Amino acid sequence: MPDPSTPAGGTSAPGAPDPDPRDPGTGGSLALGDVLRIADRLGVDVAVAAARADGTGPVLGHRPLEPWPGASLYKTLAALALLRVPGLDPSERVTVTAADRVPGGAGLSLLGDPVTLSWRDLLRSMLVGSDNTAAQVILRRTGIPALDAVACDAGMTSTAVGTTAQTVAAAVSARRAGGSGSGTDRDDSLLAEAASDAVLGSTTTASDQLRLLTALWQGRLAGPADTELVIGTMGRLVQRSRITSAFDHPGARVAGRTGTWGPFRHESALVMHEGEVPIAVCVLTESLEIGRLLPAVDDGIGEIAAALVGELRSSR
Amino acid sequence: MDLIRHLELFEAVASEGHFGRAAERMGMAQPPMSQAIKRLEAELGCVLLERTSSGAVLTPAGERVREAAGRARQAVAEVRAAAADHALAPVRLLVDPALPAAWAAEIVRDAESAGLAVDLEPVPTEEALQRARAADLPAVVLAPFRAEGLRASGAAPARLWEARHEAPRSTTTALVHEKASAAFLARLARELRGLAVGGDLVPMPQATALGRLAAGRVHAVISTEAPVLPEALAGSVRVRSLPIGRASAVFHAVLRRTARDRATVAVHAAAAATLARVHDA
Repeated sequence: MPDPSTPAGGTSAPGAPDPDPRDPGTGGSLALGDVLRIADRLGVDVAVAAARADGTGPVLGHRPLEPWPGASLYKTLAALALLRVPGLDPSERVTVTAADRVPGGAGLSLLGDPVTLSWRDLLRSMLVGSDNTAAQVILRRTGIPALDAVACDAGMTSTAVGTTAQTVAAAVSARRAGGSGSGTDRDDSLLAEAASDAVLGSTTTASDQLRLLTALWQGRLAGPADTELVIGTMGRLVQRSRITSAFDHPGARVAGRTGTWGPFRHESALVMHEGEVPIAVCVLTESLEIGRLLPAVDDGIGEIAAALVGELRSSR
Repeated sequence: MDLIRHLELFEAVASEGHFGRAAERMGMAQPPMSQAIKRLEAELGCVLLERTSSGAVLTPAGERVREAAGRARQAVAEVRAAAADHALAPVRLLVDPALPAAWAAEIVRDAESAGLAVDLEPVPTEEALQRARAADLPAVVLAPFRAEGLRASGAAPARLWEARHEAPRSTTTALVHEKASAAFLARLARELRGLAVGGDLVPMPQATALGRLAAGRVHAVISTEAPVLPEALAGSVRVRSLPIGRASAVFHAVLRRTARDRATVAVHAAAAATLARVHDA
């Protein structure tokens, strides 16, 4: 029996910024079929987008334009916004006190006593450990509109920073649009879980994440040294269980940014093979269960990325 | 007056040519039959039958009314058939075969008391999801699953039962299920490891599972229904329910988000409400 949930995106013409949302099939992509099989086996919902970082070749996508709560995926924007603050000296020292602490991620969020470090090291803590405290201190310096400006320069059209409560509500109302039926459903449990969560997160799409990664790699968002700092730091991500786990072999490197909240597990990454143009890939997932450790899903994100990257590397 | 009923009686007299035989055919006595025809003649304002010593003969007016009555009855039958096709056809609800029988009964009973007719069709979760995405078919499926395009009710965990052999000759664990999804098997295997119920988890029909348990060829049988064991096994097999927070079969009622058929939407909502009431957590 045909499964009508097969990708709404499919492949699109070389160089196009977006997968064509009108294409109802997998556009001849075997990888997108594999993506859905992996998601079925894990019992998770999924959206993906992948393409070569130089903008040539096909763009693979499944539901690439649907808004998802992106959680910490916004931290790449925050890093770029910090490096753009006029007159900011990255080596200037900042003291983070107990009052600045926000839970989530590894780094300053885990510490209790005042810590003094440079803006650049705060950026590193935010990107490497997904440190929510570092992110909050950085955002206080840049302001959220500075992140919007970076997103705008990257050509992102559907990404916004907000509290978890706001971003989850936005994504739920988008997927409920056009539906019918009264009574509560699992989306209500999700809204209830998020309702009082004021930690910053984001709303984004797989397609927007692809735009961010490609604009970053192409040097369109920062100067060469800052671009290198951001990509290099993303390459030292502590959480290696998702996309990085699938490319743990000589000659391959991953610069990734994860996003995790409740049932959501995501990663956007540049997958770099020696002597090749990197592949930008974004995998967004949602499990049915909220807040449980599901290592198989982390693993599956790696498998999904591997299927997409494998097809794009062989399509040259 | 019930015109259609009176026309039926009139047609019976016309075809029998006799009040008594017509009354007998319609399962009634002759006097009420005669009174019914008189009422009909009064209602229509003409004489339909001429009473004779040997029976009843149609008047010219009666001939014409009889023809029209046949057409009217046919039209009424069509009205009822058309309505029955839509309003009264039971909505099919796909249910995973592991759904506890008591829950299935509650779902149907709740739906009936809300005026909804439901027929349950046992379909393994993977196939049910494909069919639910392809058409407006409500389904009760076993988590976890890819929820794309589907409205899903809250989680309804069901208690799992373990029948364990005291002296097994195998480490395999049997799951009573005809065709469990890979996603459910992986999740359950993980939960069972946490309860020290190890070994490979293999789905199989109930008879196969209990047969192998009797022979010690599986060390435990996991099911959503409490197993009924033969007395011969009482000494060698112990039955317990697993702690619900640690291991369970979690069900959700699903329907595609774009579903518009009223009865289908109502059955999904009713099944979701039942699950929210009967679950074991």
